[in-house]
Amino acid sequence: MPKTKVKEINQNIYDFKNQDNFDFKMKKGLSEEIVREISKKKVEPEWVLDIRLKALEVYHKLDLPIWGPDLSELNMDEISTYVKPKTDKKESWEDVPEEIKDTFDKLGIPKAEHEYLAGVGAQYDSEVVYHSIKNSLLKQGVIYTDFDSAIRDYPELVKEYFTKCVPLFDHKFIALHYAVFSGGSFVYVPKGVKLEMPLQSYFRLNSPESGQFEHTLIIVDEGASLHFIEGCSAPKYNKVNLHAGCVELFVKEGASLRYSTIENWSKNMLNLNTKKAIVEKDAKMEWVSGSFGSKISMLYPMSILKGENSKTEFTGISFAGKGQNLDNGFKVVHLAPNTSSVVSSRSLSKSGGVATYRSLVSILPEATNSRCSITCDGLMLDDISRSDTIPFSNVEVDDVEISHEAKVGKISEKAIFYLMSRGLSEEDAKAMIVRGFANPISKELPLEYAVEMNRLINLELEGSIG
Amino acid sequence: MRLNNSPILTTRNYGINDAKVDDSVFCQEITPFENIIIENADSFFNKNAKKISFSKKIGGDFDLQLSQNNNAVLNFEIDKSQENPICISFKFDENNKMLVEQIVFNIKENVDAKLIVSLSGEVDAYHNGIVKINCEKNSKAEMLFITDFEKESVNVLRFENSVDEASKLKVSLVDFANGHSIINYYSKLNGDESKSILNCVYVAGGKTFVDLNFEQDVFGKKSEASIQTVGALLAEARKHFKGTINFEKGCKKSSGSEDELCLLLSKNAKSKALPMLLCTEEDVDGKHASSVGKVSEKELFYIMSRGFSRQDAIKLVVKAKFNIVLENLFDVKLKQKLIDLVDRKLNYEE
Repeated sequence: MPKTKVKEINQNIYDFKNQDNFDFKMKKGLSEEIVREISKKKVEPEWVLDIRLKALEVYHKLDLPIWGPDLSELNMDEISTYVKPKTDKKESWEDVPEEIKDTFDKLGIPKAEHEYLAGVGAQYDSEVVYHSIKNSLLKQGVIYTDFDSAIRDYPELVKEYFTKCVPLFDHKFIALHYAVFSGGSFVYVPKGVKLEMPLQSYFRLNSPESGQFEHTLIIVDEGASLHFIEGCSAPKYNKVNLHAGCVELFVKEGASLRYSTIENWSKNMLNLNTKKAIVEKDAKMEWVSGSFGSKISMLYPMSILKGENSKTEFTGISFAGKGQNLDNGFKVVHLAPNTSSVVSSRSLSKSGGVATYRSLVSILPEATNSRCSITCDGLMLDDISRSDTIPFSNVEVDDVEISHEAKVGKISEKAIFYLMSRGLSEEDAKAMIVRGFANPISKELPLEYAVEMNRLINLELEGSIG
Repeated sequence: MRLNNSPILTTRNYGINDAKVDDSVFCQEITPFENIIIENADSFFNKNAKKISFSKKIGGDFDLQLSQNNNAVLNFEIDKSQENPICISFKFDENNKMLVEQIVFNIKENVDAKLIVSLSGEVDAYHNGIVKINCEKNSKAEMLFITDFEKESVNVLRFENSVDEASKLKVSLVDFANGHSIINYYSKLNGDESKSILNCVYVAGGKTFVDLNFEQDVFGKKSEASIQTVGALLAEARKHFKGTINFEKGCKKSSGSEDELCLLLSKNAKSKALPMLLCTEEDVDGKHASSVGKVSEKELFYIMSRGFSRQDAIKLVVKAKFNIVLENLFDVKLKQKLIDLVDRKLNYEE
């Protein structure tokens, strides 16, 4: 059978750029002066500035990781950490400047809001430019706003939770995040309130040689439930952009939260994002993650199963193409009895892309009668790519069950032959198999997003048979 | 000191990248070791053998000691097949407590060899050694390596193997660890259609620390690498397992599998595992599986309903798991002896 070759794509619908128009762009680099200026621009209270300055100190003390992709091309002296777009936050799309509105139109955000979302936040560079929530949710006490507004309007709530899930000394890039964070979303779902429709935040980084450092803080109170969707993209530039956001999630007793991400950053982006959830008694945390973009990605969402009977699930896919090194995975710490975690991860690599699955499962002595099941599969679409699996487990109690299975290899020639014998071209057969490989993830997404993910896969696979 | 580095690093605070041991584990002064019994190897034993070089380092001062201050160098040039296995026994006693040895087996083309190496004793032993097995084209080697120290000891062991075209290497490693057991195993599958199998079983009790770092690099086409490990941890024993199968570019149509089972027989035992698959070749079939936990209550209930005590039922299950790994061992009587030894080692309080 002739070898299938898959071409790289040059353009996709995410790769359009607006002029680098801004109200203010911070000079490049990272210093106390810059951190103070960001805080001043945002008219923040003193306690927030104190956190920023402490984080900057920690950032300088911590080393780069000794493991994972090479981050030597990241030079903070070449990155602008704050870019304020030419608009304030609006509550109507009509009020958003045409150029920015056009960007989100192209990304389908207003349409999605109209059709199937309960609320939308849209961030452009360092600031949120649009935020809205359905009135019916406001009446139930749901808070969905941008993070700056939350600091101003709900200071006690923010103070209680901010940095409590992801501490600023976790690693170097979270310290960087806390020093220069800007934008992001704040969600509070009151006790017993179950949102039928998802909320979505979309992050767009337009400005070249800049970073996006949004902070997302979600509290789902006792017995409540929420599906939160996060999307992100950027046009491609020749120089490095940086994304070092942070997501802090609190899932209270009996609550449930599903956090879905379709990430399609441009392929000059270093995506060093941190996401963590604290899951209380009888609560459930689900992660659904599609990672397609970025030059380098180091992304390991984490669940801390703090309460008895708490559960978490992770379903994720990474697609590493030419020039991409996607080092993704999942981390879970079992801290209480009868906790359970289920992980299903898939990765594809082609055109020299590197896909790595890296994970942690830690079951501590208190977590008796806990269970963990992990499956991770890697599919290589050519012989110049790389696929690695690096799962770590730590078990400190006997009364547990951990099972882990992994496979790596290429698309079965038998399967291609079978489909071709049914009239499909080799290219279509291969695309169908890849979509089937990604199916466990797409079926966890709302239909519209599953379609979007399949479209991304098709874009990545677009090519010819050689 | 930090020993036995993982070939791929991960987060430092997981504590798995290397094995951290107290400096006192290293023994500066090495006394002679004479209690070596070699059987069935007269025509193969090269008495004039000199020290060998080795590339896989375990760290600390252990490598320097092994290359410059060893007290045994054994070299076997095996150029014909024979029925009886070559047996080398190192018996530790009060006068032979420290062994720093190099053992080389060169298995010549088209030769089948069976090898048994055992280290045993009832003293607080110190062992720092390397075994090199070179399998030439179309050869076949099967090795059983047993360590059985009754008292708290130090066992630092490396394997560095090369497997040429159409040759097959199978190593069964049995480690009744006591104290510190740091093992680095490396096999390079050079040739096409080569095969390298590592089966390891271990039982560790007390406060024993076991650090296993197993790596197989597959270069040859249509080759097969396998790592299968089953162990039982008792009392406050700790185990680190690092397993790597590395499919290098060009090893088309090769396969590799890694399987680790760790049975926790005490609530104070601890297990860390990092089973890795690294792949730069598309046309391969790689898989790994690992599981950790105690013996299934369902299995125990079934056996106990047949009249066994709980402890005997646990032993039965553990031995059955070990039996799978030791299956097809070339010496059936020896296999039974090992299983009996496992039975004895499993005498413990739950």
